[in-house]
Amino acid sequence: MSKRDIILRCEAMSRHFGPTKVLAPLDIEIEHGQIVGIVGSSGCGKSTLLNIIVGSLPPSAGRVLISTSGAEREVDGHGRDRGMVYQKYSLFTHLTAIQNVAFGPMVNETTIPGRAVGRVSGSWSHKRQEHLEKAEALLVRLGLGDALHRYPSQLSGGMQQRVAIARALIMEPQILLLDEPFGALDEETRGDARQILRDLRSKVTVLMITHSLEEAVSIGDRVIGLSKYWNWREQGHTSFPGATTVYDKACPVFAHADKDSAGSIMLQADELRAVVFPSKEEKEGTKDSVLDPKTYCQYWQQQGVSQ
Amino acid sequence: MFFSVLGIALLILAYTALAYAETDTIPPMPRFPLVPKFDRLYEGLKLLVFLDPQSGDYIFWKDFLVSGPRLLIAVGGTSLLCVTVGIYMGLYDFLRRMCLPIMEIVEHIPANGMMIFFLALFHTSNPLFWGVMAFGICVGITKNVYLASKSVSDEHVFTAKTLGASEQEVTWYVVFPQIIPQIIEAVRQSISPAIVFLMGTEWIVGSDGIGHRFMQLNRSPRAFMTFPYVMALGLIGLFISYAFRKIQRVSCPWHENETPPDFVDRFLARMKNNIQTLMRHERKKETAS
Repeated sequence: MSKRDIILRCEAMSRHFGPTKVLAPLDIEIEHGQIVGIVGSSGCGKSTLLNIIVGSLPPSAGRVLISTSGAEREVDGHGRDRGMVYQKYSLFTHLTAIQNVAFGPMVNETTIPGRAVGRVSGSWSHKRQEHLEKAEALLVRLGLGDALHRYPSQLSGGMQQRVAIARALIMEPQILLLDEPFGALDEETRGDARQILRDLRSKVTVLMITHSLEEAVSIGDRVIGLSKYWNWREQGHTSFPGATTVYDKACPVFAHADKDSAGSIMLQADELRAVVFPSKEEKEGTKDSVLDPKTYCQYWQQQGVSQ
Repeated sequence: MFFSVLGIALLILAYTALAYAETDTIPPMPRFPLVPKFDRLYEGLKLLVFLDPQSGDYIFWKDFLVSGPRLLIAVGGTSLLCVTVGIYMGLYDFLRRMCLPIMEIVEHIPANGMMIFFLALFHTSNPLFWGVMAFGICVGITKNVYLASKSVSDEHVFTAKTLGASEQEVTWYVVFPQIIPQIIEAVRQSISPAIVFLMGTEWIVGSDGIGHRFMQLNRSPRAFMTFPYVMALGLIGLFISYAFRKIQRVSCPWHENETPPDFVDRFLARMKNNIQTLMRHERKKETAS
């Protein structure tokens, strides 16, 4: 069986900051329409990986390729085909919810001189109206019809998170990157946010960093674990090359009221915890990790694809 | 509120005590006491703020109309330039590296020391006063705006770029609006030093304006005229400060939660509340009768 519709491909992509190696050369391929959970202990390079994919950081070596418009092309800076939602949502504090969401269409479809001319000729107000209507429709769909004209400081964490997702979605990105999107949410709001993600399945490819392993396994179609603790000496490296993928498996399909699916989720989360998080000795540096990255990276074998 | 009023009351009390004590202890200077009593202050106030019978001018307003526009033009022009430079410094590393050393040097040169340079260039025309003030406040405004611009999170900048914003759009649609409150505050804070530089320059080389008036008043210690003059300046300063806070609130409603109400706001709110209570009380009395 051959690989299906690949939308994102990291080829021997690595990143270091000065002498600090953050990511060892990674080879990751993501299929279109999947929700992929990315987990790992703090400082293992999860956010760096997302920032490279979104174009905020260039890789130190290797490359990132995306196939969002038919042909495969290398990522070189930011692009509207990739949307990002940060942990703190990064809503523009001076704009209301609806203005935040309408910001993307404004800067994407018009330019500063174009808007200046449009203001004089009157065409800008029609265009702006279109943007605001589109933003309103999206916010209403996400249950924020009552909060359209509120500033971020007047919104709860859950509402801010939905506005941030709406702001990314209005650009119709093909890849949505979420950096710990549920970090600051209470349990009830987390439920709503998870549902929003489930609704996006198959329409948008989602890469989501999360600290909750159960969340990654229950929402994701696939979960990738990054870790700094692996047998890099045995792999022929003389110095630490950075974190690598130590876990890559498909997730069980979650179904409500299905005890088996809930059980498999718990089992996989336990396995993930054992693989991704280091033992006390490994953390203290008194014992080298013996973890071979290939042992738990079985996603493509699970899909019946030979690597 | 109680303690604010108490503070002012104590100040007035201390002044009154000092005014009477001076008459008793210091060899009498009947015409020009250093701490004049209130009747003398009122006399001075009439001479300065109201019509001066000798010259036929409203002295304070005449001076204010000379110094005010000088201050406005210098602070306004400097702010426009420094805000632009400060924002770009926060965004572009090469500009920061280029400007910071120059600013470090300029910061340590007293603006009034540069007066001789501006005097040679502009003689005693208005650009001399603008130049001294601009030199004195430019670093403060630029640094404050630069720090504010730098404090805008990278995530905001990256988010705007993923949405398709150009560098200029990031600057003027994301960074600039978010730091407007800090810009207003930086300009507000620059007004006091600008006034000091203006008055110093007017004192030394001016032939009119507030600083020049102080120089004239200082020739003989006419405190009964100087004190009301200084008080009037203080009140104008208070008004400017209040106006800036109002502008900040109106132009940045999203920032309102972060701006604590100042003394004037609290005072006005308390007055409004008291009047409403009084009116309610009166209405009740009327209804009862």
